[in-house]
Amino acid sequence: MGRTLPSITQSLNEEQAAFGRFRRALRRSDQTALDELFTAARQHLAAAAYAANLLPMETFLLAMLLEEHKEVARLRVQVEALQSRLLDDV
Amino acid sequence: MDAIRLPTSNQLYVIVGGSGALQRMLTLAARLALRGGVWVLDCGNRANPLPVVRELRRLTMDPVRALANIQTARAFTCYQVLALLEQTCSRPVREPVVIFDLLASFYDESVRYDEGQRLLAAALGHVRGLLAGAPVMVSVRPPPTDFPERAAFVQRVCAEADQCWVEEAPSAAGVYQQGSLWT
Amino acid sequence: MTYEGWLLDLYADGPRGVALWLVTDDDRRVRLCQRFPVRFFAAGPGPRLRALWRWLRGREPAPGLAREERRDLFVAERLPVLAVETADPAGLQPLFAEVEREFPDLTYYDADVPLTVRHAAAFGSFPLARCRAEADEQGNVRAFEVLDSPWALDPALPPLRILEINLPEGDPQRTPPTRLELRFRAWKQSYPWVAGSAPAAWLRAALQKLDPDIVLTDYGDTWLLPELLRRGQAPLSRDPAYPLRTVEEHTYFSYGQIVYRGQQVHLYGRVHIDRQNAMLWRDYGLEGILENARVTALPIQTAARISPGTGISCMQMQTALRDGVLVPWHKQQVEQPRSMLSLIQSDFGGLVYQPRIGLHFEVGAIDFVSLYPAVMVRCNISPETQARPLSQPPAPNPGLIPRTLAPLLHKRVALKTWAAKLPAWDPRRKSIRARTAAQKWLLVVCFGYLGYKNARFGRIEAHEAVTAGGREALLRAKEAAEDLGFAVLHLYVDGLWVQQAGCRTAEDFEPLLAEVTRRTGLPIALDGVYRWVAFLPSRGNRRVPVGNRYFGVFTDGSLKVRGLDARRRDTPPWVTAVQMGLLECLAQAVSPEDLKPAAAEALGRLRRELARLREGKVPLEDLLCAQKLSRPLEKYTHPSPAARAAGQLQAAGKRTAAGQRVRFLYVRGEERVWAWDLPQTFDRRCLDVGMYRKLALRAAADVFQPFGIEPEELYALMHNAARVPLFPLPV
Repeated sequence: MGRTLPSITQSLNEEQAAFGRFRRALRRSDQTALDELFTAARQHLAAAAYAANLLPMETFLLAMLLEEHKEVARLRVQVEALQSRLLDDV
Repeated sequence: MDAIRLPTSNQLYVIVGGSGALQRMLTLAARLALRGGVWVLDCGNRANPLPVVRELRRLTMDPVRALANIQTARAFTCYQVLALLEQTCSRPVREPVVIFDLLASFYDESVRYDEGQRLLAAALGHVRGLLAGAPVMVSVRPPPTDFPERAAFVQRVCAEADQCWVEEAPSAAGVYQQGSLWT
Repeated sequence: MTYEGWLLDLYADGPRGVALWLVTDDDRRVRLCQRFPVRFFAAGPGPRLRALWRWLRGREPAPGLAREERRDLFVAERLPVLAVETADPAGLQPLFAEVEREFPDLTYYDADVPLTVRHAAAFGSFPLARCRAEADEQGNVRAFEVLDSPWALDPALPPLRILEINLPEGDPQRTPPTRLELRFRAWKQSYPWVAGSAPAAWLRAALQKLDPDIVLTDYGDTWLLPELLRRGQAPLSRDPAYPLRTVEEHTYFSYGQIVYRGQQVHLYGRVHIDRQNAMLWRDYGLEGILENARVTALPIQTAARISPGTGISCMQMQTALRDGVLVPWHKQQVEQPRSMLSLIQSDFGGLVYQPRIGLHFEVGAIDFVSLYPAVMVRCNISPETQARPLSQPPAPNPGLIPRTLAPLLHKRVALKTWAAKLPAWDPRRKSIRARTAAQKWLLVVCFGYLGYKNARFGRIEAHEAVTAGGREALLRAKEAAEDLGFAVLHLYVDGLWVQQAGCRTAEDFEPLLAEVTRRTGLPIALDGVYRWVAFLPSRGNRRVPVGNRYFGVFTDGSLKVRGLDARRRDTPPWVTAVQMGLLECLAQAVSPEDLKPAAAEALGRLRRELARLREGKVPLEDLLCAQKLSRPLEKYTHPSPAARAAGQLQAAGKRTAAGQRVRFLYVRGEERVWAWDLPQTFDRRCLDVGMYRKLALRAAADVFQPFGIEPEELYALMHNAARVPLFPLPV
């Protein structure tokens, strides 16, 4: 039986398409960054589907933030490691 | 057919068309939900709630409450359409009823033409029953090219209507219209 | 006379009832006849039912009529119905068709239940059931008793006589045959396929001498048997009163796939199976078909050809008949109204995670055993019941669907457990594998069937409850794994891939299995421990993971491959072989250190295969693509390669129906494809070698990417054969 609700992947595609005009007006380098954010949201499609949010874009934004935060945390660890190596060298 | 006005009396409003008609029906369901209860009977797997939520969010701070005003049920075969209308009719329905894509399952190749005709007549009987308590808005799509003779079903539905809108096919307009150059 | 033996065939036999064919213990084939009146029911307003009564009373022969009260699964009170009974089981359908035309407004029940399903509900019969019959001199059954159950794990089966009729050259509609081969146990005879009546005469002689129970053919449905009968008489059916029955070809949609089924030839008192037209023959063969027939109670010939959806539907009908529940002719049950909010919260499918892309070592894969059916049984999900959450004990009074599924599910689990204990050389393992494969298909579709719009005992809410139960079970499993210190690499509908340092044998995962079962009440099993497994990204975007594209090697060295070209039926066999060959090279690597030399060897292998292609050494048959025609030829606006090839065939007078596969080669020139079954001989110089090179490289790129060789790098490496590969391996 066909489902009435679009799949979560379709939802994300629709939301991404809805920002088409916004994306078009961005600089090429910013377009790439925006695409990367949407790619990051795709890492959590299963969780977004399970969340069944009325406004799926809210969940996608949080998913983007989550990936950004992981990246920040990863970089922080690296920076701290580099710092301590520098301090050791000094 | 720029906009469908909110119904003011217990009349049967029919809208004939494709995705444009569908969009208008979804908007209509959202606006009705702001005022109170609405019945959405989905006969073509078309009543996607997400556009309704989007519309509600433009109109209210509390889309969840408005959404809870919409009671919905789906039917996937014309036998189910009939059963769904019969079941809805048997309740004291006082709120507006929005029926999506009433004829979708009547275009199924496994349904004989005369059987479809019989079921549609019975279904329209129940729609008349609903009108006793509430306004009813029905959307129908024209038949697919494989079944041109089933356009008679559309006419049958339109004949019942108090008001009937027909979405114009872009090519059928016949009038040259200046479109936007750059969108 | 008392007969004891196995039930081979059962069909309508005029006003006398049904014909039963028994294979007796003393190896005779006996035809008996049993009185077996059948009924359908009509419900509706009183005056209309009275009108139907009057209309039926005047008919000749007058059917049996009675007012009764029966149970409709979806209605609380018992329903007053008019029961209409015919002594001739074959007379029910035509009578019902007339009634339905005359009284279309009434609601009908039990109108289209297959005869064997009715018999099964009444007597517990099923194909190849052990049974005892008492009959008079004329073969009229006085008493009939079934002595075993379809759920027996290791039933005694009759010594069936199987005659094979083979056409060794393949599809006769593509290439005219030159030989006909008959095979019976150790005996084999080859005949020239000559014009005239001789082939029919040879077959006649064989049938008379051997009297087979099963006739196994290639293309017997679509060509061979009709062709032989056209040439001359042959007693194909055992029953002289009924020659044979043909079912027309048809095309239909199933799970979004277009399916073509050729014409069918059914026999009476003997079973005909066309291996080319049988469902899933390649998956489970004759053993699987017999198992399918036993559990669905459909005739063997039908079980061989129907979809698992029909099989599961017949099993549900049987349960309903046994319980005295009416089987609706048309489903009328509709969804109960609910708020749009709850629709948003329930209208979605199973959980499909995005795996961690790349190569992982020592990974355990654990799967719920038949998750959805197990959820249906565990949570008592049925259209007439209220589903129970996983946290509650199982329901005391299971509904129609769980009652239908539970014995099948338990049988499958028991057979699998038994097979796991048998030594590797035991021949029963193969038979069990075939039977569990057949059961698996029935169990797989029973979930989809619950949500199918025409399913008599379907209901969307029940369908949604199953996916909800499945999601809950999978999330509980994820939580259990994380609580026990595992990293969860991937979750896919009914399985999870987990990893923990030091866990590398089956025993290491046992505590996890026990914990998941404790938290869900559902059986879960270790699919295996991977030495390594690679999850692939989407071909479109290398950062986006895809749920079902992976390959890996278990600790016993066996490979598991999903979502790669080698798994697709339309991939040319050479491309499949190249990809699998590369994987086999890599599978030799036992430890991460071995991967580098294994990858180097795989690169060498790819280079050799590409050289073979360039030098024209790959046989044309191995380069054939076999793509399905996804719609009727005239409906294509931009013809696919398959459609272009089908167009060439049509021009040569050979029709291809939607859903049929077309075999073709890629060639240079405007058409780009060459239909393999064209009568002209093919000029090898036309072959589009570049296209095949591209296909092979694309398939190879999927294999090498997880090992750090990016597609561009691979293409460059293969362009310059002399260059020594320098690649970074994640070891």
